[in-house]
Amino acid sequence: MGPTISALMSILLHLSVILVFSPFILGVIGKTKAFFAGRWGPPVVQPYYDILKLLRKGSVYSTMTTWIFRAAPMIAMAAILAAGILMPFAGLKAPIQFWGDVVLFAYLFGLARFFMVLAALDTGSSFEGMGASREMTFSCLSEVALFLNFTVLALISKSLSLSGLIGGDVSLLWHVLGPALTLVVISFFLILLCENSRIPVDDPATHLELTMIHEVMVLDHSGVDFAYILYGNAVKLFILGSFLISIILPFKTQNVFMDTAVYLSGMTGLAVVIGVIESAMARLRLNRVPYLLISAVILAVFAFIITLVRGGF
Amino acid sequence: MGGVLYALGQHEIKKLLAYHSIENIGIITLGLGMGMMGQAFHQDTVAMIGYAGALLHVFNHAVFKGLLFLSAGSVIRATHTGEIDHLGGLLRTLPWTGHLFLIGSLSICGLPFFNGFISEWLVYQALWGGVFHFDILGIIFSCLGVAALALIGGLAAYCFAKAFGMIFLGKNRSKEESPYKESDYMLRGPMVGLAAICVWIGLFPAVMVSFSLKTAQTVTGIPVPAGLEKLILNPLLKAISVLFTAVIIFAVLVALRKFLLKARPVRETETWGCGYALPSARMQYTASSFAEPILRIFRTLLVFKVKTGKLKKHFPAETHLSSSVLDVSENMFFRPLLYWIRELSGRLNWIQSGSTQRYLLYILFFLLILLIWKLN
Repeated sequence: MGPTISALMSILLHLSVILVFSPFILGVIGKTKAFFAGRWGPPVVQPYYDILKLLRKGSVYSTMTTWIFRAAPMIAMAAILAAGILMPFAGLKAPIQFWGDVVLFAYLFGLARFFMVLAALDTGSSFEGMGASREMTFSCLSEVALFLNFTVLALISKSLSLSGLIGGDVSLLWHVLGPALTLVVISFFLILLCENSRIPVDDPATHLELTMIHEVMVLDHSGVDFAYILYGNAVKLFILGSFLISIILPFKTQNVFMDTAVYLSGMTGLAVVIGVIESAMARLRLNRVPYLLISAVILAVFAFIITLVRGGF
Repeated sequence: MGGVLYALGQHEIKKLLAYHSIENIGIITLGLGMGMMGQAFHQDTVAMIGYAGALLHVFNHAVFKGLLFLSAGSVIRATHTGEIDHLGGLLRTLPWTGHLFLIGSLSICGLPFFNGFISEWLVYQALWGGVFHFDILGIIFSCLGVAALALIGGLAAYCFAKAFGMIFLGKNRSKEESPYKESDYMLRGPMVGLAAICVWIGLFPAVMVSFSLKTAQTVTGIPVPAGLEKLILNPLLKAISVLFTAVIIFAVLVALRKFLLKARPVRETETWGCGYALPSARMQYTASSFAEPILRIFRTLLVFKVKTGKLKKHFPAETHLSSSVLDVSENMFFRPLLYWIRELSGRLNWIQSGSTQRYLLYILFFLLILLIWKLN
């Protein structure tokens, strides 16, 4: 019984860390954008308030919808949280790790996306149909880039679990394969922007324009369901972001507090960078977005070539 | 991969499924290819995982494609049409067919909880095995395979989100009321059985994995390396334990939602149309529009046919737009080939006059020729 209970405890700990910290990133992004716009801006904890407020609201459902519309936010959030279990954070080891868990990681996101798209189609609204269609288009491309990046990292680290990909001696590898890792980081950053529908792929601030992707898909969700969706997105950003930070800042001291401090400042830095990009750039024209994603794929391929040449294969 | 693009361009349900088979065969050949490369590089582990993945996918494909075809048949039987753009909202009138089609779609996309995930997992393992154990050329090919499989996975999800979403969700696009009759037990039974197999393999893959390993051994004659079965199954079992955690999280979320909504007002109204008050079923997004963005990206590989009406005057009264994807191999290879064969046979038509005497003469000539040939 001992190991089972400790495993359960570590899963619970992991999930609570994810749940507690993820809206914070959104708060930092909001604050950065406000700073650039010359405003004081909402407090950093505003996303927590938003989610709590939505959780206390009632819901309105379209008569056209079926159970899929109601279940999708919960399925999506459960899948994203389950993917979070596989991801190690600074001082915290992933509670479950195994050979090849990257496939499960990617496909859990796929499951979440599939159900959100079905929920959007469920409403029968053409706005949401359009958003769903775009979401699927871009995710096809970003998935290729994601798997290529995983392959490069696997080749570098000789491992196939998330913990192995980023948990090993990445700091040593920066000396040998610095260029390849740089490309992976840039490519992964593009994926992160796309998967979390940030500028320049999607503008999370617009709400009723024909230009948006993710926001329009959830147009009909309200109350608790919408809270789940917002929270799920925050968690997704947090998970993918910490993957990136673990590659960029692989410093491992033996001190847990130091590690955590480095990690948290890295995450805050990432949020600031995203905020700066959103303030400085406009959203790309929709038919330009695929080029951005294809460049993510190409960067990953270059990283692959460099690894092959430099790694002595 | 071409298959899934054509499938995306198809708006007829059974044609869509048929094109999708090409893509699945692609996955199977990826597995077989890894098996052969594994043999060439003397990496029995990689080879066996590749072969086993391919074999398992053959079986899985039979199961979920059978399920999908049966439910598609059920849809056509009930509605008398297979045009996706004419359907919609069938989940309410055909609940059995709808949910079974959903299970089939989830399986074919290789999403976790279902059997497609297991075999795609094996193929991924084989590909990454290639990345780790082959020489540089092998590594490059394996990496290409990973990219192809990832793209196929994404496109399959796209395609079946379209198929399921357009057929079973939203509102019926051709009729206001749709008093369709659900298929009876005799039709439902086999579909339920197939769906059960999908879920069974998805959650308890041990039996089928070891079975396909044994089959691979029989076919190729390579003995299964010791401990390989464990090597495959242990990660899979852990993956499934993650899935069960996901189910528990889901249950908690459901309970929380129920608790929170208990004292709150829950209303039902029309879908929010950004203020437009009279939405009609024909204003929904259609399957062709849904697939348009991705097809546009791959437009160099596909041939489009777009018919559109010209806009006249300042307030155009009527216009139309229709687009379809043409099958290059059908239109540029098979059609001309068949046309030539038909032309040629038309020219030779005079031989077949219909009179028995003439045919007897032919037989006589033929026998004579045979005789002369034999004598020589």
